[in-house]
Amino acid sequence: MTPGIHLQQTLSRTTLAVGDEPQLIYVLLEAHAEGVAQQLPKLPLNLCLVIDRSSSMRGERLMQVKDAAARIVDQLGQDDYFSLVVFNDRADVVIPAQRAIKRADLKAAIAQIEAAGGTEMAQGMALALQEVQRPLLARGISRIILLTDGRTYGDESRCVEIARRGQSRGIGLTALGIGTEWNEDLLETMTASENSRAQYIATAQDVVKVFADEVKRLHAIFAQQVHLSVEARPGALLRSLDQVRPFIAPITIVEEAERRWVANLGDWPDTGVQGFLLEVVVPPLPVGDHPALKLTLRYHLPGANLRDQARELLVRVSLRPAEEVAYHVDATVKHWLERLVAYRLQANAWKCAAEGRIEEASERLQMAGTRMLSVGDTALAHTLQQEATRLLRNGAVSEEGRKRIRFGTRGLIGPIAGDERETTT
Amino acid sequence: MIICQNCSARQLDGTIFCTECGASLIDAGPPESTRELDVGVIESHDPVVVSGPPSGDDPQSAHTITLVVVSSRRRIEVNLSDEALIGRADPTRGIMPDIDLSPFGGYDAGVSRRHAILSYRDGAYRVEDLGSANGTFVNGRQIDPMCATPVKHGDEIMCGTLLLRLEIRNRQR
Repeated sequence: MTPGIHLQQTLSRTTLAVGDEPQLIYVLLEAHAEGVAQQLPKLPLNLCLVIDRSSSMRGERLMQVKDAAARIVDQLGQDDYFSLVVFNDRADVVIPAQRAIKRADLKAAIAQIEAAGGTEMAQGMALALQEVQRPLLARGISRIILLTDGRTYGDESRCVEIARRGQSRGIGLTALGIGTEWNEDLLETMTASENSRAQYIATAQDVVKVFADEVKRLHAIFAQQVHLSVEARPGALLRSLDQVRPFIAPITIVEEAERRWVANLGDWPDTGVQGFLLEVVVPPLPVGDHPALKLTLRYHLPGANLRDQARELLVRVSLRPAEEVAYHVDATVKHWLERLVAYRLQANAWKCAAEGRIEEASERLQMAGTRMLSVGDTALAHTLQQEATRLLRNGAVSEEGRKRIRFGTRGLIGPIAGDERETTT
Repeated sequence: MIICQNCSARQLDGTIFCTECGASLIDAGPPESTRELDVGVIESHDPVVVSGPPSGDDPQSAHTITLVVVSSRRRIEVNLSDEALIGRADPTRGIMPDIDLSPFGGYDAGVSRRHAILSYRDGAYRVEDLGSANGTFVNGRQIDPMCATPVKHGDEIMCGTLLLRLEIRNRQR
């Protein structure tokens, strides 16, 4: 089989009733690698770890982080590059960018890290960007993994600016927050770009697994610069596009030409499924089958030396007289939409709270709880309920609750839940 | 247009959750619509006689459970009143199971046309293998054919090699 990306569509409703009003359909687009299992060589990885070594990291946290870093060294291959930067009130390059060959030396350097001082992140980010740009890779994946447990003061905008500079050069950022003191607004802003994400590590014991999973995922990248373009029939409209698998992330869409939207979906691993939910407004149409959207996925497969690959998928809707149409909603589409709605509700809640509309914010959190209960995440539903009540009583939510809600609704607490697609059967 | 019953926001037909308040627009059956009703239908409608107190949670009434196909995370919603046949549709032989696993790779996974029965009686769920070719497993253990085995929320039911997870949720919100 030629390597590529397989696309699958599921509509919220397969048959629509004819009417004189526009209707909304939800399209679940799921994509996974096909024909690449053993064929493609791994792309070299160029990884820079940026570790917060402020005094609050002392003890269990730093021990786990050092253990996790040492294990990453074991995961890397001969063609991979590794560098390590630490920061407190100042930043130091502990391991300059180099091939991961002298593993014992690298691990000895990691073992020397000690916790002390404050948190000044921008210096660390600047050094990391410098190190990650040293190796000259004809092809491969460059990534910065940042881990912090505290707030940086006064240099937030510089942190964002450095992150953006890297992202514009194709260097993604994975920002990991540990404990409850770090600034989730900052990490989320720094990672609001393709190939980047922020993740919440609630307990130090999860650090090793989160690091290992991330390196495994980066090693599995096979498609790069994946772009989706959506062309709609006259009168139709793409209202939103969000990633729902393996975690929830809003995606920036640009209307490039009339009724033609494009989105950058970044680099994809060949494990698991990438899932997206599209909200599409369909205009009134006569009885019959009609094409509604044309989806085109464009990507490079650097491991196979294939550039500008494309896969197309036509989304059709079927319209029937109202009396012949039973109102039935696809359960899988509803499930992912419900998770997305919970994420949107909590995002809206923080906005309401910031504008002083506490009661409305609390209602949003409560409704997000109802949605999470319905999708089966009882623990998060409970947290949402608790924080909704706390918000009404005290005018504020707890630091931990806010982080659990913000990252939990996206599926980004601790190790990301297994989303491996079984290739047997 | 649909009007959200929770916040009165106007929503497009086909909307599943209100974009304003997040309330479900489909749980209460067909959504409220501002479309003009056919008055003739209403006038000729025979009222349903209801006796006794309104039943909030009638244990015998039909309710929805979900079977999640573990490999693809596809969700099969089943309106279970007493029992449902699990199998693979075969129109030529007239076999139309209530839970058709053909769209979920049932053939390759060795699901029989008439594979098993999922039932709900006296407040308990049971699964019974119908002498299928490749067997039925509950939480990894093969169950004896023609012998109803109790199952509960979260249990894994495997038909042939197709793994399903049973989700039973209280319908009260």
